[in-house]
Amino acid sequence: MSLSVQDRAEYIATFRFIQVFLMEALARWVPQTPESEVKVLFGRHIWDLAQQADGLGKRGYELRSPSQFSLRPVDSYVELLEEFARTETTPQKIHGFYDVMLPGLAARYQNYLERTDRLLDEPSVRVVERILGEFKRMIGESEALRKELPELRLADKNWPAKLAKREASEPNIVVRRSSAAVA
Amino acid sequence: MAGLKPEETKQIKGMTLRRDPAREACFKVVGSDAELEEWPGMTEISRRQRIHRHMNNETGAVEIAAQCLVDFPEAPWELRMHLARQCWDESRHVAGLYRRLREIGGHKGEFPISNFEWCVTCSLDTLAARLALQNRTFEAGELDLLGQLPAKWREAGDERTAEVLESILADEITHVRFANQWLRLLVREDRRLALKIAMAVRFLSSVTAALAPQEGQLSPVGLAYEEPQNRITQVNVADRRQADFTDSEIDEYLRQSGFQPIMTSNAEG
Amino acid sequence: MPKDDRHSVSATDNFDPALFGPAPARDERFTEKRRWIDCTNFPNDHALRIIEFFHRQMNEELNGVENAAQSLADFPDADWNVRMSIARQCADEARHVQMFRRIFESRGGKLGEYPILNFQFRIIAKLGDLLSRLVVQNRSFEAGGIDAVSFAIEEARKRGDQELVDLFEMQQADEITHVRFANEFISESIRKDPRAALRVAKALTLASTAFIQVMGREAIEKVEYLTDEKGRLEAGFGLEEVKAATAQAVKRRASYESH
Repeated sequence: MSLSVQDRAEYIATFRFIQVFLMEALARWVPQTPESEVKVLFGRHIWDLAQQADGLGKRGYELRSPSQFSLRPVDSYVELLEEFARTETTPQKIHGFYDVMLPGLAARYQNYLERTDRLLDEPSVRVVERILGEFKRMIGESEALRKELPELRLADKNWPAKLAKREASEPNIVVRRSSAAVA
Repeated sequence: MAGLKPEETKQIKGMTLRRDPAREACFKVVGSDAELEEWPGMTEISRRQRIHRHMNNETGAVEIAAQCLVDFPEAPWELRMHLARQCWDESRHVAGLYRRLREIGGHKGEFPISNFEWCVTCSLDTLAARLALQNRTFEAGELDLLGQLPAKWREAGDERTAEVLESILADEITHVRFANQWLRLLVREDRRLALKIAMAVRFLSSVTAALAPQEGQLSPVGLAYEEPQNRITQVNVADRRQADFTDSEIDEYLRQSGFQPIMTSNAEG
Repeated sequence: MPKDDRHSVSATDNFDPALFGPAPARDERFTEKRRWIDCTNFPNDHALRIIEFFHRQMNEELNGVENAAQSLADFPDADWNVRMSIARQCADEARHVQMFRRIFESRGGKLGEYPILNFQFRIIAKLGDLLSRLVVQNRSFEAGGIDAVSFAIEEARKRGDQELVDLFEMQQADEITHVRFANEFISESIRKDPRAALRVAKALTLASTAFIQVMGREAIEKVEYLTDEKGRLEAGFGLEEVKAATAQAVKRRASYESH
């Protein structure tokens, strides 16, 4: 079954919430992270995430939501995000963000692309595909930095897998709203 | 934002400031700019020290903009977009300066660093006050400095650093400009912010005075400190205009900086 | 090779040349008619009525692309933001053409099977300034489209035609953005120069006169739908404007039902 305009607006607003949250997580980490190369990496990606959120916020408006509207995902996913934002060590931040959270979100975007009608909803498809392309670049940049600074590699190899399992445990993160509440 | 918790602050010479942001162990963090090494001239060590210091200032600028995103999530989205963009720009500045530092034989932690701008700016509890200090005061001051420095580096035969500084200047103009535009808007909507900004400026003066070197004190490299009036940089009128300072604000700044005699010719430039 | 539309226009269709410009180019698959009465107008309960509607609507959306594109070409000095919105409108309308073609063909239609009307392009591209074009295309025709689509969504839903509901809902969301940017542009133009309001009024009068020549009273009176108040408010119409549009629609329906 295809998605209605309201479904799409809810997905897009939920994605926007996550993008803004991730932007703020990186922003919070910049002063708290000692390695200057990592500060630089995060600083660059704050702007990427903000632009992606902005694109989603504009698209949401076209889908009859208020401008730059965010929709809080289901509680369990928000708890995961909040817990993740409290990550302390730099290797965990890097591995968690670039190996788990971004790919996890990318999978959700991919799922959206598979569910929506690519013709009817082409503007959303463009926004999301652009984000996916940028995610690839961002992940690539983090990998390059990890090659340059091996101390950023994670000692506990199981940690990302555990995080990934939690991330994937909630396949549907969108909270359905009544039509009046969205518009 | 809520006020700072005690564990987020530090005491220095009777002033309460925000605690320093995280730095790698290779850095020696000092409490004031007076404790920084300032090597005279454009010798090799002086050039490395200048770039090293500038790099840390840019790191502080990323951190301040990022912290504003964290501390003021309810700020208008367009303003947050500017702050996010500023994070990107300042990060690129850090990376560009670090690359240059390594090219000329320097390394991270070679000189002490101070996080004065972070410690002062991030003590403030309104976004307007932070923009007034970080963007409209510190970065606007950088416009003046960067208006002159490229020529100095070129004179020393270092075209590459001059280019890096010119690129940074172009970005800084946009940061000062959005702060100027948003401050006008924010103050128009809430007149009480004008008082917050005035208090922030006074706070900066108090901290600057408290952390200033004592009379007769020598710098860490054993030299006498230059008198404050000799450190004043020529006001970069053209770029301040580009950054959306009004002519009357520029006039006022020139007056305060002791540039009254050259005001007319420059302001017309 | 574009088809010369003179072959399909009857001698009685001598419309006022001050109101109508030339037709947009079409290939030989299509036959253009000048008046609504000359099109294939199936009765409400006819099985092909909806198929013919898809074809007609596809061509109207093509007129939408053509009008927006023509405005981009004709007004290179317009404000960049409005040009961006118009460029975006080109993409949206083009997508609508594809949407209607897809559903038309998937339900057995064949391109060119029915005559088409190009009155929207003929009327709008004839207007000499961007303000007038946006008033007529976006604020008048497309705003009317918001109302019509709301009605059509409900009808499709009643029939259990979910594919069509999805299509219409998406079309409606897009049309709202087009009407909204036009409303913003028009308000700003009048704020800057109050005399622009006179141009708005003149454009509406010209368009309405031309529209009646094409459609005839009969087609206009057959309109069954009322105003989509929520959609119009989202599209930037003022509350008073929406109320007035609703009153007019109610009056039109009462008049139709009394016949």
